[in-house]
Order: sequence, then structure tokens, then C-alpha cells
Amino acid sequence: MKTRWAIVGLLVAACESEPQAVLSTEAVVDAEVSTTPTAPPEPAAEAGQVEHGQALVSKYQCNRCHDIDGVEPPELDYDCAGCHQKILAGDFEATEEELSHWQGRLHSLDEVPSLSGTDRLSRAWVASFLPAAHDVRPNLLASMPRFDMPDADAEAIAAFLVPSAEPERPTLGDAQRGRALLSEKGCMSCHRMTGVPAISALPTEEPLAADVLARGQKMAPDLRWARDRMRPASLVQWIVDPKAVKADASMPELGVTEAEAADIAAYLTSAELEPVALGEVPELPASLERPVTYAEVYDRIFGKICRHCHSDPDVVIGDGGPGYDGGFGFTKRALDLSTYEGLRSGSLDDDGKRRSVFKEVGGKPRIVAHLLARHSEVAGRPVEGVRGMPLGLPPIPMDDIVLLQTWIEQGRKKQ
Amino acid sequence: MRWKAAVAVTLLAAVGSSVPADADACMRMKRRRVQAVDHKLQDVNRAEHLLAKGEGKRAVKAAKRRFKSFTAATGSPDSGKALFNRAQRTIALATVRADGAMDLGRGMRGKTAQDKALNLAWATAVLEVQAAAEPDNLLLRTYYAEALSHHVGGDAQARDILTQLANDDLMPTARGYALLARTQQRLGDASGSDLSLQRCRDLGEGDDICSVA
Repeated sequence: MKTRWAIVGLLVAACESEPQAVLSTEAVVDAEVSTTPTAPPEPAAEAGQVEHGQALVSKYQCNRCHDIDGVEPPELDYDCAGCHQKILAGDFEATEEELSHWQGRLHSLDEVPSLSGTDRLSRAWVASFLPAAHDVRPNLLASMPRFDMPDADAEAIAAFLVPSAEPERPTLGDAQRGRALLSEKGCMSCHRMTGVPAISALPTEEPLAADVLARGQKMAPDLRWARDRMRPASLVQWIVDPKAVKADASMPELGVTEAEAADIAAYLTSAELEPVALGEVPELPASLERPVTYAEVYDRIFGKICRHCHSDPDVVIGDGGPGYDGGFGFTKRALDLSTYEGLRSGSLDDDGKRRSVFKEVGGKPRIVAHLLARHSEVAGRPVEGVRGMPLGLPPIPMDDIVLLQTWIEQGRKKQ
Repeated sequence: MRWKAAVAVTLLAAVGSSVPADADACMRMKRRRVQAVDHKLQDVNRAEHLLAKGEGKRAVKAAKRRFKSFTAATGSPDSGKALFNRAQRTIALATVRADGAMDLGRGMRGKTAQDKALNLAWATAVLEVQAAAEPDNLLLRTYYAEALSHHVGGDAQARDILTQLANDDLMPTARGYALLARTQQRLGDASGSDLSLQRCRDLGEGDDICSVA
């Protein structure tokens, strides 16, 4: 599952190999853990719920980003991840000049976790995660969007993704030993585990190929979530042989025995965690003194990011994006940010009437408020009633947002 | 209005006699952005650009080049409805701005007063149909208002459409404010017209756009 708050400031530090405090004895863990989660093992999902979930996967267009077992990929015009990957690979049908231009500006969706082998996940976790996605894979630039998804829909999708009954829960091992193994086996070469004292990042016993290491580092989840995400039996199996659980897993086999995996799983599921730290929301700088043109704002914001999801379908290929036609389960907003005229035409409100994107919300033009709200979201402080934009991507830099703010203040001129 | 009756005849004749001649484009439309050269898209883009520069005749020529059956009610499924609509509305708007004096082809030469009226009626109907079909497209709504303002008795309806957009801060273009100013002036609202002209100028446009002439 492609899930993370894009806390950009943490990305660089995520996989550094510099040794950290080694095997802190301050870690509060139970020495021997027999994993007996309070919730009973999950039974198989009801067939009707699974079928309903599959239909909802279409409604929410999960396949625009994810490869999903049992779901056809979309046409390229609708395939966000596929399009990015083709461009980066140079396989996209376009001129050399176009490809080169796009490749230089394209940084997201180069890797997206497939939704295969999802029976390893806790169905309850999937259901709780979908309506309130948070950062799970901090090194991926794009993140799961904050959907407008009722709990019932999330539960049905979870049933589709995790239809099987949970396997018998294993007895786990020595958590202290597991903590040491996380270091010794090289797990921290890719992973981080926030909320616990730092675990040193030793290299793997067998050196990993550069591409394997790079992909592993990019895709590695923050291990603090493993206890909620993974079913215990799958967690142990995953640590021993990831590809036996998910054929396209980016995690390599690291020569971990089943007993060692039980130790590691014990630590992952029992180590005491500090609460997730809230980030600081940066201030919007003062408006600029110099004139700001629409062309500048378009190049830095609308043309670079926004128009991918907010375009007039008469002018672009595909459907104009979920921000126009209402994909990803969202209400149709018919917001076209690909042209000046479209921007000035506003978007559809919940009552189906158009309203200006310049109308003030909390003292800021609405379109600015949405961009600022994304900064708040990644700091863990979502703004009630204002969805952060760009959806599922890192925030627009404040220096660019102030360009937009200044342009609006200067009269929103086209020239 | 008289133009509505006239256009009904024109449209019926056009639909009955024309078959879109652009069925060769099926896959190209699906992937039009990724083709190294897509002449149909290029021509429509060029037509829109020319019209924006005020070169209506050249715009019509560019749009007609790949959409010879532009008077049809709609494009064929293979031709790409959206691109057909863009070409058709470009031709229609250029015709409106020329007060019907546009050579649109056989039976629509736009030379006599009757020809011009017929062309204007056709163009207005096209823009009305497209605006109704795409109520989310406010630019189309302003085009339709512009067409109405070229008809006797059409100013009030045009003004109402544009006033609503202005009041909601949803006017897509400076030209829309200028058009509102013109209709207000013709309807005797001088102060409203001045205000609309000012809003036009506030968007950075000069007297070439922001005037009531």
C-alpha cells in the first residue's frame, strides 16, 4: 500500500547508514513476547462484501496508481503511475524534447507498491487506514491521498484486499534479541523505526546489489506501523522470505531464520513507541514587492502540478483528472487549472453551484488556503474542512505559494 | 427570436447532408498528445490561437481544414467529440465576431444581409447548444452571451448571464467584462458599464479589449 505523509524534511535522513546509538538498553520491551493481540483473529470476509469491495476499488480508481491482483489496469490516459514510469523509462511516445523536459520535472510515482499479497495485512488496519491515510513509507515522494471515504466503503475495500481468514498466530520470540537482529541483519539499511531509540544501521551480511538497495530504501515502510498493518503470522513469514508473501516485494531475502524472524516480530509488535511527533507548519512569507505574472505562477504551480488532476477534458487526454471529473471517489468539482480562464471560472461547490477559487477562507483566498493546508497535513495537523493540495504529494514550497498569493493581491492579471 | 427559427432550418439541412469526414483519426484521438505530429489537434490549437489574436478569418480556415463537416450537430465518435466541438465553437465565435460576415462554405457565404443573418443564427445556435451541453464551462457561457449580444433584443439576456458571472467573481475573461459593459451601456446603465470597464482594465487589458465601442 502506497502510504505515507510526505514529510519531506525527514526523507534525507531516512536511510542513512551512519551508525546510530547502538542497541540502547533503554528500549522498553518485554523480553519474551507471546503475541496475543486483544482483537480475535479475523475470519474470512463475506463473499458479498468482497464483491462490493471490488466494485469500490473501481469507483475509487485505485488502479490509477496501484497494480492490483484481479483488477485490470486502466488505459494509459488514466494510468497516473504507468504514465510517469513510461516517461522516466523513455518509453512514452513523445518527442525527445518533451521527454527530456518531463523527465527533468517528474519525481513522483516512479515506484508505487502493488496491491498484491495483501492478505498479509490486517483487514481492520486497512479499513481504518483508507479514510485517514498517514505516512507509512516515508521515502516515497507521493502518498496515499486523503480520500473522502465512508467507513463502510473502507471496510468493503478491506474485505476485497484481505479476503482470507487470518492464519493461526505464532508464538513470538525474544524482543531484545529481535532489536539486535534488526541491526545485525541490515534491516535498518532501508527501514527506519520511529518512536523507539535509534537502531544502528549495519549493512546486510551479503552486500545487496545497488538497484536492490535503492529500491528497498525507497519502498521501506516505517516499522512502527508493522504491528498494526501486518498479521502476525505473515509478519514472521515476510521477514524470512518476503517474496513468498508478495512476489514483487522490494525487500530482499536476508538469510533470517524463522526463530530470528519471531524475535524480530516480537520487537516490532511490542516495543514501546513514543507518540508520532507533530511537525511545525511553516509561515507564509510576506507578499512580494515585485510584479508577479500569471505565466510565472502557472510555471511554478498550476502547470507543474495542479493541472494533472484539474484540467478541462475537452483539451487534454483522459478525463481531465479526478479534480475535474470527480475520480478517486470525490465529488465532481469541474476545476480547470490548466488555463487562466479555467482558474477564473472557479469550481463546483457541494451544492453544485460554482464559486470562485479566490473567495476567502480563513483570511486567505481559497486556492491558497488549500495549498497551505497541505503543509498542515504533513505536519500532522489537518485543517478541518480544507483538503490539502496537491493531494498526496509534498506541499508546494512556501516561496511558490507566496507567488500565487502576491499575484492574486496584484489583481490576478493574465499578462 | 427570429434567429432560432432560421437556425433550425440550417441545422436540419446540415445534419441531413453531412457526414463527418474525419473517421481516420480514431486511435490518434485517444493518444493525441503523445503523437509526434497530430495535424488535427495542431489545427484546432492554431485556430483558437488565431481567434484570440483577432484573426477570425484565418481561424475559421484553420478549423475548417480538418473538420469540413463542421455544421454537423456533433462529431462522429471516431473523430473525437471534444476536438470537433472546439473546432466548431471556434468557427461559430469567429462568425459571431464578424456579425455573420464569414465565408463558411456553400450556402453560408456571409455576403448578403440574409447570408449574414443565417450565419449568425447558426453560430448562435452552436454556442447555445454547446453552452447547454457543458454547463460547467463558463467560458462557453460567455461565448453564448457574446452571440446573444449580436442579436436585436439579445442584450438583456446577455447582460443577465454576464452579470451573474461578475457578481460571483467567476468572469473567465477580461473580454467578458468588456462585453458586459457594452450590453449595460446599450441598456442605459452607464454607471454599471463604467464599473465593468474598470474591472476589465483591472485584469490588465488595454482599450483594445476594454471598450464599449
